[in-house]
Amino acid sequence: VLLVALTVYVAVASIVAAVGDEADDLYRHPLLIIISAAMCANMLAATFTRVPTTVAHLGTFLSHGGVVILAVGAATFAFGRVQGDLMTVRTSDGWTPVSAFYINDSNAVYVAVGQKGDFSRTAVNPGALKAGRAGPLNIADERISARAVDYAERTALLPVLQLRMTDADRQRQLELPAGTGVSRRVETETYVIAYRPDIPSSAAVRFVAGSGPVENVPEGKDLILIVGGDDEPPTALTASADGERGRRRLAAGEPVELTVAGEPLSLLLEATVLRPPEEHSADAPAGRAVAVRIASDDWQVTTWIPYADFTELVSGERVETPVGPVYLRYSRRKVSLGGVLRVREAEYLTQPGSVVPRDFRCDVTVETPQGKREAILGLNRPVRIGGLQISQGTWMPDPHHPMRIQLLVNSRPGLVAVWIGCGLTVVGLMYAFYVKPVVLRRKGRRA
Amino acid sequence: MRRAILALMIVMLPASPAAAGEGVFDAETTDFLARRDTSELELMGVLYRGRSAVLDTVARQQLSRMGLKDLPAGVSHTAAYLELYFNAGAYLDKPVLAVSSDPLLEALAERLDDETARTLRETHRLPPACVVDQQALESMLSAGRAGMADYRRAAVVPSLADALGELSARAGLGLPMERLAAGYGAFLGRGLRAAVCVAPGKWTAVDTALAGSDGVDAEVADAWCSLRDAWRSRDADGVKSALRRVAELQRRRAGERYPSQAVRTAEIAYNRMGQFTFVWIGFAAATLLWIPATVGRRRLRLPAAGLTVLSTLVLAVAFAIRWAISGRGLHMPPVLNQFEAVTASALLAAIIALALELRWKRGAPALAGSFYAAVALLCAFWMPGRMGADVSATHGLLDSPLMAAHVGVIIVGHAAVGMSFVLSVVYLLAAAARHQGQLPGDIDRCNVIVVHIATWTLALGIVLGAMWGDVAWGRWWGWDAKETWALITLLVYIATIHARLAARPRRRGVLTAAGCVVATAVMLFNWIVVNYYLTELHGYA
Repeated sequence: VLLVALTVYVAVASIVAAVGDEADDLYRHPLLIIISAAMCANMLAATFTRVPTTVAHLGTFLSHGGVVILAVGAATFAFGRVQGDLMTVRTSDGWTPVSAFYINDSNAVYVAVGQKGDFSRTAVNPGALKAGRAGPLNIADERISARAVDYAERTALLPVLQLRMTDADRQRQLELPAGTGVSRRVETETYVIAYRPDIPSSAAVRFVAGSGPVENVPEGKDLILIVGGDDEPPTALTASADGERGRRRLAAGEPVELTVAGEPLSLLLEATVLRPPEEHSADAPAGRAVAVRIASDDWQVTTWIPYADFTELVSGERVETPVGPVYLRYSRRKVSLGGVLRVREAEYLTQPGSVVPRDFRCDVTVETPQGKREAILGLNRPVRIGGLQISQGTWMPDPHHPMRIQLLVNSRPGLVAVWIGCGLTVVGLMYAFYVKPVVLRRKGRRA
Repeated sequence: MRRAILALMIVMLPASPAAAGEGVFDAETTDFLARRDTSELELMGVLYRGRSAVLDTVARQQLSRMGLKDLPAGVSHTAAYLELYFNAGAYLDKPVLAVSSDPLLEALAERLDDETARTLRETHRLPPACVVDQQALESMLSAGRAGMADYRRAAVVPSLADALGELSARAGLGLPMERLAAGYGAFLGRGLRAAVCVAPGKWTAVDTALAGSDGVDAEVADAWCSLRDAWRSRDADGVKSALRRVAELQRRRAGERYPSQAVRTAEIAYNRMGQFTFVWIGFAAATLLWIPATVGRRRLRLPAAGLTVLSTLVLAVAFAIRWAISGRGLHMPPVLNQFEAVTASALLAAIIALALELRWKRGAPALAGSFYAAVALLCAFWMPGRMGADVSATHGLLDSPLMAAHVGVIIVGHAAVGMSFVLSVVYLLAAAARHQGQLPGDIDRCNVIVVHIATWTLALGIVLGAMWGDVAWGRWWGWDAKETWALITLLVYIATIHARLAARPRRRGVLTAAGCVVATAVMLFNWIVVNYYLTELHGYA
């Protein structure tokens, strides 16, 4: 009954896992653990109480014992395993040395104050953030604090400008989200202001060169359009109702003077932050994000940090604070390799006259406290550092001109028990099927 | 009885499709092609899909992509392919590329003028000019495979270039569009991308040789250009001498790595015999003889055994040829895709059956092995394309002795599973008919032997797969759908064995048979549903 229950559970889980993405949860589910444990206990009890301890029945002891040892090894593997990957990037000095790898099921926020590159790391738990339990982050500056406060599983983050606008009558704080929709622009009695980071500032020349009314702007009102993507500072373009055009480059913390509706207007860009849009569109790209609040005694800002598999691939979100810029990255937790791995040469080989991969080969140097050695890391040829095994598992984006290499890293706890269990099970089966009848026949003849 | 068997065999033989090539080549061209002796070129070794192959293989596979499997009488595949290649310009506005699905055909026809649409509907073929792009046309011109007159003629054919992207993205048209694209690629001559050897280990495209580009010495370029010119001008003597020159140069340039005459001849035979999958007829006939031989007509045992042995030998020869021509080395038998797995399991089932028959002499194991082999080979016979009958290079990750051992042992297990299914069905039928003779007992005993083989081979195969997974990916188990369902098959057998031990003697046979039927259903689920719909890491298997 337990064997049938195990079979049915695994069959159902396989189909559910194929259509969903919760495979790991299904195969670590308490029900599966209970069925497996009960089956092992039952098998041991039945073997020792009901199977005669004779040479003929040795196969039963071997195979049943093998299954129990295999189950112990498998449980050790399932719950003690560390799985992840590492990345090395090609620079003018060769491939970057790697001393740590990223764990798949553990997240972290990296924060650096003042200068990029000196990041402190804090592990964050998305589950806790989802449940509203904020997590303090390590930060190397006592004047400010940082705290992870929210988590979104799937969102397309939207850049939002935090502006302060001052005219003759009043001062206005404004949060201006990026986008083309009417709901995302802000309209006052005299002007409309919108933010389009998808328009490069180089395209603003055409805008400034034009004249006459601007499309989609109510008659009699001026337009302030802020353009400029991720890699360039934003630019404010103005178009007055009577055809005047203006263009000013914006920099965080530096006010610029504009003329809107014939009156002077001071525009101060305080910060650019990322936010999830209020309405998630159905085609929003899948992506995790964590919200981080940075605060000092009299100041605070909350920004969303998009998830990246490798911190090497993102420059990080920059937040302006009273103590200078703060850089934030959200990725997986890094763990030491226990040594340094350096790729000397990387080569992608295809089968002759074909695009079918033959090998993805890296000549590597491994430095550990025990010494330095050279090795070849290729398909079916892993390299080991301590208890970790490093394998070629995924391909470079451009295999013929690789700029970065990604390698799988796995620890394999319980492996010895697994192989012993497998061996005993197979030998036990063969014994029970082919040796036991011979033993019983001889015994019968002797009798 | 004999009439019934004959009628059954006639029904099961494949219907002869219309000679598709007749609509493409006119009478004059057909006559020219039929008179060409291209045997030297057929045997010429080229680099193709990551391995050494004969040109005959390239021609057959590339024509098949264009939907030109059957040619006019007397025309060889190599001659037809070279005609389409060297004379490509003449066929730009002719219906050459097969359109395999009616919805795609209608979608294409809607975008064409009346005349081209009518031809498409009548022939189910599309002129390459409808899909050809400027770069490909220029490449044909520079290689001398088309002239300016062809270029101008192609220009007036309505182009579908703008519609192709939209149609590829439309639901249900993705696969037919992929097939059309493959046919188009074949027409452009992609099969000859590495067909010219310029130095040992260095290969280039025929287009490059014809265009006289850098890296191709004058002698090679001249030989190929002579062949092209003689072919296009229908100069029979010129073609003959140029064919010889090209083949001889290829052999000389390739040096020691050139495949031996024996291997190349074997490959031609393998192609002509359609990968030998017709052997299903031998096993089916043997099955029909084993049925009466098993239930009592002992005089039929000898012809049944003879036919089984003969079919097994032919299949073993086919397996050996495929192994040799794949060029994968002794450590990698041809068991790496579904076609290879299914045909290998048929061979192994036949061998297990004959071995058991030799020892057992009851007819039941041979009946099971023959029937399973017949059904497995029939699948390979009917769906060679879908199952991957073409020999191709191996993904580097699969190039491991552990992998070969894993798949090989699992295939033995699958062969045993198939045999146990046949035995179980026969047992259940006999039990349902309340057969009083020795037959049910014989079949049950035989079934237990086969179940034991299936159990330990599946267990060992899974362990070997785990060992390979540990080396390849650093994880010995990953709950991948394929490995999970292999485990489920094993669990069903283990449950069956334990149920048999616990059951009363009278019910053991039925329990075992029922367990085997369930295990076979699980294996088929693994082969069909998992392979085509749930596969993750085993996607290339």
